[in-house]
Amino acid sequence: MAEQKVLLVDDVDYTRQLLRNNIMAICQSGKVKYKSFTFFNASKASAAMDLFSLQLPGIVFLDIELPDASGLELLKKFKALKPDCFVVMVSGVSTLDNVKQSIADGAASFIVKPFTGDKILAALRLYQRYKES
Amino acid sequence: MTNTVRLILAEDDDFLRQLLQLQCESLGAEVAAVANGEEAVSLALSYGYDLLLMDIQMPVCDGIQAMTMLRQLGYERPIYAMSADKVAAEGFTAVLTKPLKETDLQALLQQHQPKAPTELVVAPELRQQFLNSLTDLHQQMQASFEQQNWQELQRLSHKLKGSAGSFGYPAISELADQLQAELQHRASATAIEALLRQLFALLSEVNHG
Repeated sequence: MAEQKVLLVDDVDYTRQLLRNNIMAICQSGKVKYKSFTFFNASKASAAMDLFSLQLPGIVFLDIELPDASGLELLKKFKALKPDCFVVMVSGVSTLDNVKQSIADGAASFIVKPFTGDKILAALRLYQRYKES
Repeated sequence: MTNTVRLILAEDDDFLRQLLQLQCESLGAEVAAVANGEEAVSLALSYGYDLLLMDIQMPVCDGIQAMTMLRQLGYERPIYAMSADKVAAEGFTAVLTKPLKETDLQALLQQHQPKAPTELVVAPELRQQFLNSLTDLHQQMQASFEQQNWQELQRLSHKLKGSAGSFGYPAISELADQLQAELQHRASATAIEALLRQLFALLSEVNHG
């Protein structure tokens, strides 16, 4: 199986770490077919853009509320660079505007914080199905 | 883990909503009742509920729009429409014909027994990092309050809401959420201060408890 690259974009270090640990735990549990992912991290939109262009990850967990830009702006840029990229929007608030904008700009999924194991699993399962289709 | 079914009930008619809520609760379900599609979408995306029961005609965002958005975002959990008429839209798990009978609800709840949740793994050192960050956050929030920098205070509350919930401190998350909502609605400084005090008390408790 080809290496799966995942980019985690969130301005809080321990939140990214939490996400990473749980993605790894789900991979190890056998609940998805992926054994592991190669992780890339960014705490700001600018760094996320650089990493994205360089690595072209298959899946991104993208926080909407970033210190230097909106995740929604990044979403557009990511989809322009790699149209088949699977982007999971993450937000503390799921206003209708955020949700509509995310769909319009090509987000594959949307989860509302706080994180739970079920949310992360739902996103990974969707990704797996997306890759298989 | 209990096998209580957790459901979202979206119905704009107050009387009907209360009736359905009582019926579902008497059947042992835990119900989050909302009056429009937007709130239903928001709750569904929290992935904390086993099923969604939704009226079609609702203000802000109707049942079909709400269901369509959720499906576009890959939401795969059951979504039932409640309607007296035929529903043409695709994407609903099924359409329940109004008026709903208690036996319908009972059958529905039996059919959707919750699956065991995937537990969130929180490494002890990560939890410690989070707890350490609370001291700084506490100070930052205090400073923003003193400077009446409401925007910054809102940003900090928002951040706290997400992280506290993820790390297993729902009470802090809930208070931070309330604070954020109050700030958004430009509540008085007194109201904000009262909430902040409660929040700070909780933060100290967690760090020294």
